[in-house]
Amino acid sequence: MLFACCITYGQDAFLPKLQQEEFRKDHSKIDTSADAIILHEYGRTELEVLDAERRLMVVHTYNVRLKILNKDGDKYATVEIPLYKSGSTEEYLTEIKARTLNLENNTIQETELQRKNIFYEKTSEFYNTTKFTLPNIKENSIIEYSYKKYSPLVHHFEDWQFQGSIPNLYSEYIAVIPSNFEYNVTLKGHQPLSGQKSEVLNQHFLWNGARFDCSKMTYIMQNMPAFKEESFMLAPINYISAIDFELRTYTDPNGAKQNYTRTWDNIDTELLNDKDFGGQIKAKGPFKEINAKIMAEHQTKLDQAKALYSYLQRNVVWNKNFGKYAEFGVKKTLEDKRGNLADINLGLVAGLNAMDIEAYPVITATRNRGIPSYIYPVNADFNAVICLAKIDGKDYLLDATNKFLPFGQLSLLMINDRGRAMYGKGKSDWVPLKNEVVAKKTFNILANISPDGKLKGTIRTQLSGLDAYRKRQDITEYPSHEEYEEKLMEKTTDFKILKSTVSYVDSLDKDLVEVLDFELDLKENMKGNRLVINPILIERMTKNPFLLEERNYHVDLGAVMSEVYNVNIMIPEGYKLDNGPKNTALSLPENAARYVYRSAIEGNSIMVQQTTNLNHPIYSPEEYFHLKEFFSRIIQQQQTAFTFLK
Amino acid sequence: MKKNILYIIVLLLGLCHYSFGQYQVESIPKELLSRAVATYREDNMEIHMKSPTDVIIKGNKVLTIHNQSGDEYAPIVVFYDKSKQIKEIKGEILDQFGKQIKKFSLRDFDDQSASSGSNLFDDSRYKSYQPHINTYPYSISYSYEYKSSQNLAMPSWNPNWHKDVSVEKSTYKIIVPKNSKLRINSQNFDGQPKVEHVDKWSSYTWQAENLKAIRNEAYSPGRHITGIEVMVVPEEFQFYKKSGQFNDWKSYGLWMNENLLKGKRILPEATVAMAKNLVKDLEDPKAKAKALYEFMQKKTRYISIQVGIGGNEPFPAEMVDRLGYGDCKALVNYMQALLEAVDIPSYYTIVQAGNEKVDINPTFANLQDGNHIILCLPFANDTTWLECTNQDMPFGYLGDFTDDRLVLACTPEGGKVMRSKSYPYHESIQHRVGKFRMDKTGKLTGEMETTYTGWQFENHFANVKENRDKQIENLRRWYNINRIGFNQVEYKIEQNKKHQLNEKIGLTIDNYGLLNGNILVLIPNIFNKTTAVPEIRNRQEVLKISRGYTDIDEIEIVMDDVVDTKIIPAEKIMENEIGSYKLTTKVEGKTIKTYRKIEIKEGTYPADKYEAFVNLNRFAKESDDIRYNLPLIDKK
Repeated sequence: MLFACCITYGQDAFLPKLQQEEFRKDHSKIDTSADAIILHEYGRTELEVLDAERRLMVVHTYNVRLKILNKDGDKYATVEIPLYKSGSTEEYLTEIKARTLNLENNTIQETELQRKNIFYEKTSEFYNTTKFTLPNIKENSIIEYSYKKYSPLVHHFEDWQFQGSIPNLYSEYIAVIPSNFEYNVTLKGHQPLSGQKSEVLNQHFLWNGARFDCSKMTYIMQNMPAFKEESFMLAPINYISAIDFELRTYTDPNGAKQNYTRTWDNIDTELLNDKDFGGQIKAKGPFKEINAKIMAEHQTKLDQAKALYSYLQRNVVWNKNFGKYAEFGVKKTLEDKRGNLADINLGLVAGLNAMDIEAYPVITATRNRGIPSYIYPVNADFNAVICLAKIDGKDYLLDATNKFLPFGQLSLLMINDRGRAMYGKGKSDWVPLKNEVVAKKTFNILANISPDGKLKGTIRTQLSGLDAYRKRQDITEYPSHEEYEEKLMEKTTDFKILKSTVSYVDSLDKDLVEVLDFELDLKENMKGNRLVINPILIERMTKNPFLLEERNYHVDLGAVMSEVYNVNIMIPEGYKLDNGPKNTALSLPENAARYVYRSAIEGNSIMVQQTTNLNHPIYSPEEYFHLKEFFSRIIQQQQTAFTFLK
Repeated sequence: MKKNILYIIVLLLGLCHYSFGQYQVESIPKELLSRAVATYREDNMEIHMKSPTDVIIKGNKVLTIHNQSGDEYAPIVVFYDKSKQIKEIKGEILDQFGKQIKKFSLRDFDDQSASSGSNLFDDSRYKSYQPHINTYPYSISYSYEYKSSQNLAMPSWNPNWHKDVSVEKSTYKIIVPKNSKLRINSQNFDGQPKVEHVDKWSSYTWQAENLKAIRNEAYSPGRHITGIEVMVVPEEFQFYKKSGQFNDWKSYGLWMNENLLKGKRILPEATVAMAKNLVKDLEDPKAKAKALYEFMQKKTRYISIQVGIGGNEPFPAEMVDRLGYGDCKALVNYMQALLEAVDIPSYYTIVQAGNEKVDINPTFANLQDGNHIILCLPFANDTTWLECTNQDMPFGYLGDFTDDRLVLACTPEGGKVMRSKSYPYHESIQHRVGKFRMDKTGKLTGEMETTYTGWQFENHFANVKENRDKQIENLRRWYNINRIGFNQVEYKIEQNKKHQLNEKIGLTIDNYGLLNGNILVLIPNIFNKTTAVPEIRNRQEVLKISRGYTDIDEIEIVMDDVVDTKIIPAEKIMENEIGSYKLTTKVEGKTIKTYRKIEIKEGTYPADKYEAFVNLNRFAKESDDIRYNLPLIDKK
């Protein structure tokens, strides 16, 4: 009985009393694909000055109650909390409590997590992880856990996600902010708040003897669906409902004001004054020799810019670290021939400037991160920097870290809506990130069918834009062309490849061209008086990339795409067309996508032209179903073959 | 003064030697460059067992990376735990002329916990170093020294483990006190070690030179079968403060029983009583075991926690009983304890798990073979195996994770080598029967029932427990046909002599028959399409088909009466040593009937039989797509 008592006045006053009916309710009805569900989640963050450390800390209290709906949901009974550390700055947890509740014979049975089953792992140089898993997990178990997290990173006030990988019935977040602190608060995502209130806590915050009022802000969201990632979308963080805090200013008890307020003017000035950013783009010295050589060899500004870009691509190795600040500095990077993304791209800006070519750094967020905030300038949103060159009235976005990117093109990883160009102190502005170059594939198929049923010919594939970039990367994965060719021969089973010739792997300003010599034994397809041939011999589409029944988010392809087939196949004398694919043209509203299939028989040759254009890099959720149908029809069209009779 | 000059000259000579280093890329023999993405110029290891608790492992490596594909071999990763200490690692990166680009030492290494996604906790850690060089070729040259306080799990010698890495020179040296007994297993190595006795030490040295890289051919055996391996196990050993002795699997099993398993199977009385009560109305021991297995599945879940004796010791059964979780060792041990409570004997069994079937070495007892534990129930003529880390697996089913390989069962009489359950091709059947109608628009509607047995039982097993939306999502991927839709999904598991999964689905495919003018194009074999096998010219390695299978598809389509079904019946048959293929289509009235059967037999075949395999596949692939142009009858 005493036991039941404990339950009633549970360990966490933050969570409502647990009712037996929570066990009996069929929560799986809410989302049949959910393995677990959050019944109640509560978080509270405030600032505290710890007596022991005399240090200002962000204290975050977290409490959750969730229900395991099936055996696959037991992974939600394992908790891993990463804790940042760097030198003496270290986050830590206290008051970890966790328990499992099972309903057995109409009573709630409780099993507590024992201290010795909590693991503290020194994960790496920069973080520790506290881990535990709850005991006695069954289907329909309810678990509760709570902890307090102390963090000395004051400007990182705990952000809160209302939405996660499982549905959340009730999520409440309280931010207690002293009156001497100011934060920018950003609410993200599409879901509405179901409750919000604000009250004043008098004299609540104590700092070195001074007391400050606090405003206590409460944010509630209810019945949040699980966030499900779909293909062709940006980083989930752009869609998940969350609330973010960014410190603007605070005033310490002595009246000194620390300003973290960020206007673009501040950020421009800060970055341009930083020796690892602005300091780098002025470096002229390291480029003296290279530039002299380039300027002697190339006359126009565009050619000079291209030459420097290509020099950096070929000679400096990117160490795979991102960042907008130089790691080694432009000078050392050029000497050692290796550097991080900023070393290389700030170097490009510096080198271009040194040749009197107008160039600026553009700070960006890579595609696996959130799009930078429009509303408040947040320096931390940006994790990368590229170069904007203005030559003869034209803008070029450049990233010299990748040796396969042609001048003026960006990899998909770099394309994340917009970046901020640093034109000068107080002069920064947004630039859209996009590839001007269409990702284009052109297949020219030229073949001949001999009277004994052998189809022989060449397929010339010409690739530009992102398509060329991907293929270049693929080819150079192989130690040699011979090994690439051998693997290609092994992989290709629709016909037999006799030879592959690839041109312009290293000439990035040209389209990549591959010519395949091939043959195919028609066998069954040329028997008796019949000849059956499908002219789309290569990369015929058989599977629809769009399979969803329901789409919630934009389809983001990253570039405009185009695919063209030009086919010319000579057939032996004496055959007459019996049946063939009809000429077809499809297009989506506002010419968002277009498909054309045209064929003609002239003398002994079949001529086919097929073009597919996706004219937008981004499609709306409504357009998703148009695209799905569009591709279904293309697949159908491509399944049809020509039949000839003798 | 004179002396000084001499000194300077010596120094200069030294420097010269350094700048025209001996590891120029040019000096690699031509035949070692073929198919190699990297080359070991040197790979030398010396294991000095001063005593069972004091072992020094040291060596040096010089690895040349030829191109970008070789970069995967460039990082240096060293694991350590409380029995292994990294004393030193230092080295340098050399350019193609053997000239130093930069130096590194242990300080430049990252230190990380070895626990990963599936591991909640692991008390071993690793240090790693990434050279990050993108100008090829380059070399990494380094020396290392580790100290181990155990001598049972010693690194083995596998000089040509990677097919695409060639080896100029590799040595492996073991130094032990004279008189100490060593057991040595050598595989694919011609020749004998060089044996020397100096002072109180005996040493054994193996050396290999000029090992070429080879092409990685599809369907070829792994290096655990074709690579050189030397493994050394001292008869008397010390392992995480436990000493012992074994010289064969039998005595190894006894050592396991005594040191790692004994006393771990004690259950609380209440649980013993519960187990007895659970089976009290059951006669057949197998039925009892099944009831307890299902209880265990419901009660527990798999959580990997690797602490203590090199990750080899199970948590006590009492702990699993209390917490409801454990790793493979703990869960098997718990299951064994439950069975023991009702007097059913079972064996804790060591297996090398993974899709690739890897045997434990049947004649050489060692601690390193095996990475997973299953449970063996030695019923007379009906040996039953239990996978205890899966909460959904039916009783007695072993999937492709642990099937058909040599395993070590720890019986009370000691270790015993056994073969786990195998699923040969004639028992691994996917049998599909579909009955459909096609209307004049080409829309296909009907039902299909598929049974799966043997290792194919698992093909769609994962779908059984899913909710309907997810089931349909999976089906859409498995039966990826343009415009397919599902309107009924039903699964049933039958569990008599063998395990069988039945899948019953209702489906429609719009425009499956393609209308093109006045004809309807039909491909009567709808669901099972052969995926091609790569053609490999001049194949060198043997052909290994580790899992054979039998697929049968029987499809009937009743055509709309506006379609002329006077088709030419087809019969495609091919048979060779690898297997057989048969496809027939015929018409009965308005019904087009298709029968397709393919058998691929598991086994290891000589390299020249690969062509037969390719031919059979190609024949199947071509036949699978037989299509008919059916004229529409103008009915007005």
